[in-house]
Amino acid sequence: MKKLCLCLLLCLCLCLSVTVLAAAEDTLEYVTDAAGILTQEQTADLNATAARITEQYDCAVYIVVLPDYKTYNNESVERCTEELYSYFDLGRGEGRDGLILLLSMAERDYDLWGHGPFGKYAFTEYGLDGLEDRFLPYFRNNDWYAGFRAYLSGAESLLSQAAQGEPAAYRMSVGTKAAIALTPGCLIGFLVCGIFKGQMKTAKEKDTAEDYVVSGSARLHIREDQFINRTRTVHVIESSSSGGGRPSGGGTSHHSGKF
Amino acid sequence: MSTQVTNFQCPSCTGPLHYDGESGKLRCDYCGSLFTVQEIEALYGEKIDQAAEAAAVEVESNVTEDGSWDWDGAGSDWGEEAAHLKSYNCPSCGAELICEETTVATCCPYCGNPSVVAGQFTGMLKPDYILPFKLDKAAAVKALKEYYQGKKLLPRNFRSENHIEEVKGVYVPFWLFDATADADLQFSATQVRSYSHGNERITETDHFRVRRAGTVDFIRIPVDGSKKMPDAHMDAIEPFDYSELKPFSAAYLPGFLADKYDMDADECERRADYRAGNTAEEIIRSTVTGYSSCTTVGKNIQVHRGNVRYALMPVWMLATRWRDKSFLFTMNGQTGKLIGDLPVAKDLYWSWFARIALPVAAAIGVFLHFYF
Repeated sequence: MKKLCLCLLLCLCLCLSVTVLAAAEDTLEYVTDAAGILTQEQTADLNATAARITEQYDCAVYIVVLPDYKTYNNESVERCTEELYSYFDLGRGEGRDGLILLLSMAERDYDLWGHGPFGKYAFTEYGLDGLEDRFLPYFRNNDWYAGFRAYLSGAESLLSQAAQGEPAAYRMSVGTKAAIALTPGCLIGFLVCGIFKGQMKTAKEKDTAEDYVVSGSARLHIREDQFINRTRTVHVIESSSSGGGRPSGGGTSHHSGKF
Repeated sequence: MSTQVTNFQCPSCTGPLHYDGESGKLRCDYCGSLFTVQEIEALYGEKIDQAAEAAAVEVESNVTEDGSWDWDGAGSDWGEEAAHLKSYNCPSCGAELICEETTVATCCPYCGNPSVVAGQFTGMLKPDYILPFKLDKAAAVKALKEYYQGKKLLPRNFRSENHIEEVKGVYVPFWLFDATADADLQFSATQVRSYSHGNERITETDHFRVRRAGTVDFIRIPVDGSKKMPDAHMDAIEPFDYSELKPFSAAYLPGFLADKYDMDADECERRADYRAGNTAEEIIRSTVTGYSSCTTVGKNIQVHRGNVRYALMPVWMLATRWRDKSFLFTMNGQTGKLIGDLPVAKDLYWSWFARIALPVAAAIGVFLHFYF
């Protein structure tokens, strides 16, 4: 019954006018399962965990599952996420810091988006990439509860790092560093040694005779430069977002795709 | 037969004369007197002519009645090598000199007197020009030692263990080809312009068909006419300064070895054509400017041959030996340019590789450690 109400609420909120939306309930639980993929116990457990994380770090963590995001916003799953976040005034504090994971079950779309100054600080590109890697394998196996647990666990980890002043950043493995360092080293080594080796072999046949050109003798009889055609290519300048998402003024870039 | 060979002896003491590149004169080994080439030509011109006539007579006497060469006497005792050997008598001591058939100037191994086989210059065989030696044997040895300097991959004991076996000053026969090369080249070229408009990056590429046809003249492209001389060595000591070319005179030969050509101009002209064609293509192609890219799509190069001259060029040959391997170095006897292939020490190669690669890798590694 609760799920049905929520669906109706979302439909109302996003499809009808602002006036109608304003009249509806203006808040969301941390975990909203409008598609009914979780049991009540699972929803309650996840909700409690999300609430605890939110309180601990003062940064809200949301899970929203919809049957089909197009019911609410036909443009894109990212736009739907932003509208949800905006309409329900999600997030904590003045900056409305938070992280939202939206799943749309119809075509198995997902979108992950951070918001607010602390949200942007905590949920770095590298951090969101790692977070995706945590939950996507579970969702691909339709293990929703485990996936959401992994999502909350990962979000907590990112918030914890940010709270300590060291938000998740890309850390290259020692092996990768060694490979990257050795490759140009070896190339330069071979290049210089190749030059040294070339100095050892100076007896070479000549292919040209530039020393024997009569000075000023080169003369052109024909000089033709004929225009044939012009080709034109146009590339749309993409903004620097990952996962096919687009940047938003108040949040991180969207990490979206199919699961 | 002995009259085919001429000695240049000092008019003062009859000691042997050598051409001295530094002074440009002939110097007596014994009394140190100097004589100009013209003075020696005046003294020995008649003697050289007689030697040439003697050679011509011998050639005629060796021709059979039907005009073909008589090879019956050759090859029975000496094998096939006899066909490529000739014997002369040293006019100074009378010893028999066994030389290759192409030898023009040599030294008697018994008395050390330089000898010139004037008969080799008769008819078409006489060189048009000679470029006299300017640098002597000591300069060649010094240049070889300097050549080792700065060679980082040279085996450590090469300098001390590499023994010079022989240093020879040789007048090498060269053909000098004049040529004119016509190059007709077609290119596919592009001009690329990029600019931004709104959120679009627009790239416009103009395509052109470009044609250039032109002519380049060449003068005296040298190609060595001796099979014994490695082409790579002879090419690598170029160029020679032709402003010092002299009309040929046998008076420049004493003290050096000299061979006549054993590859005629027809055999050598393809190398001159190849070099002239390549250079003409480069020069004509360099006139295509102002394009972002230019690809040759067609070419027609024709080399028109001009005059051919026969000249003797000064080359110092330095033969060395190290660990049972022979190494040949050659030096331009006029300019001093010395070339030759040296052995590469593998341990030094990898040592240098490590000394270069590891610090670079370490520097990059430190950067990655702190920033990634």
